[in-house]
Amino acid sequence: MKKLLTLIAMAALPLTAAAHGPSPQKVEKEIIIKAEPAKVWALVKDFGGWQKWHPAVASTKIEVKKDDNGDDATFRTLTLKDGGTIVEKLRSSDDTSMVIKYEIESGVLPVSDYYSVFSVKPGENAGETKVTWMGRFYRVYKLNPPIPEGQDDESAIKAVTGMYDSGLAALKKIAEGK
Amino acid sequence: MQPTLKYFIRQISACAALCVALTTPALAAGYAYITNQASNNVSVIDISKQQVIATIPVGKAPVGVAVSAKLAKVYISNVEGQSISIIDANKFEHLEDFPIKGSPVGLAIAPNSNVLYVADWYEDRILEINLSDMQQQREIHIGKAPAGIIVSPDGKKLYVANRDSNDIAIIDTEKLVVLSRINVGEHPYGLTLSPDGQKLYVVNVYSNTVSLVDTETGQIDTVRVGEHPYCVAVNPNGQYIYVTNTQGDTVSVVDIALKKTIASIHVGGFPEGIAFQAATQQIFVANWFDNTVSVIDASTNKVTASILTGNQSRAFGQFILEPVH
Repeated sequence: MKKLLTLIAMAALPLTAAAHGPSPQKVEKEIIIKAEPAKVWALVKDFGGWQKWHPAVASTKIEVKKDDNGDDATFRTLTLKDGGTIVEKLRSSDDTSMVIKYEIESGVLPVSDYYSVFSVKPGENAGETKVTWMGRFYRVYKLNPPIPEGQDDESAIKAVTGMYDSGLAALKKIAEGK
Repeated sequence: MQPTLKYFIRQISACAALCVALTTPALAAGYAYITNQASNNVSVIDISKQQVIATIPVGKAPVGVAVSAKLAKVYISNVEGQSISIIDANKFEHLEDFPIKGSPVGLAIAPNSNVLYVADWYEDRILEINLSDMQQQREIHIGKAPAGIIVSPDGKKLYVANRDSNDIAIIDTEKLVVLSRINVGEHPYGLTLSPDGQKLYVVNVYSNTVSLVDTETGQIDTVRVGEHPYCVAVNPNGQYIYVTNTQGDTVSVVDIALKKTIASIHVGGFPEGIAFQAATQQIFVANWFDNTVSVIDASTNKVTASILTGNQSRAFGQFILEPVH
């Protein structure tokens, strides 16, 4: 019975809920790291190894499988230190421009349709790197107001901001060898 | 016949030169109304000056724009504010906010400026509002998450991109009934019509394509564009369409006769709304991530200016108000 109710709930949901909300949100964070860009890029481009620098990530599992379009794609499942998981799809990773793009498929972050670009560039001074991490995403709630607490734009922005701030600070520390 | 024709042309040229000379201040190239989602205002760009000449506060999270030269008014959909803001296009002033029971996104105005159509994102319906009093209203339920909407040049049909149904609804505007639905690509969002109304161009966000739909036969050609495309504009002779690619930071130029992308122009971050300005042959692109508008010269397909606007510029719809005269 419980299973049936769940199925009904799942079937009923798409009838009323749009795929995502109407107003995309953004977070963009930047940090200057006193290390060579190649060193920073090596850490960032390792899609299965963010636990080496991001303090929220405990482990990562990498899988190559078909995406919705039937194309081979790289997915990762991040297991967070607080126990939750996030499944992400690698969109592209380019060694020349040092840009990695990915999106969230599902997970505990209170966002939907999350798309992110992580860019590594030489800084103004020799031996410096400028890292930019940006995300575009929507809140979780997909119906007309009132918007429940925890599913609003503010919650989504706060969660992404927290992930970026803590991640970039730790990336700096590790890349600088401190 | 020959001398007569030459004389005639000379007369026209002389008149045109004189008219321009006499009325240049009033005959500006027009204005672009850019909705800024995060600053809850609209930047008005004077196209001849290529700069923002007014910033008008509107409701919360403005997205869609519709303009009426006849009424000298601009209508803005505030999707989070659940209202339509009305702007006086002569004074560049906010007149009033009209509440909407729903979440308005796409807007379109009938060619005779009698009614405004509003796409309600969550309630899967189109509202028709009589612009004479804003009170007389009709509504029609359609596909899921209606986004881009546009009225045919004769005013008889309304085209709606149903984002989450992956189709287009064609609505009879007199009876307000759905005449037909045409399947397109995945997640159709922005759309526009060729100037003669015979072709409908629909942007499929998830498919990275544009559907070129023959409005009479329903025949469809599909053209690949850039990553995560959003909106489309057409040039006045219908030869090219221009498509914003939000995840490519580019505009794809599609040759309609060749049915393929012939150029890709790098613009600002996350380009959304796009419009073609006939008098100056320029394309205006609102860049959501960069808070700017890129100006493209259509003769060279090069960006000639970047104009700072407000936070998270969207400009969804027909956002350029051309001079009436």
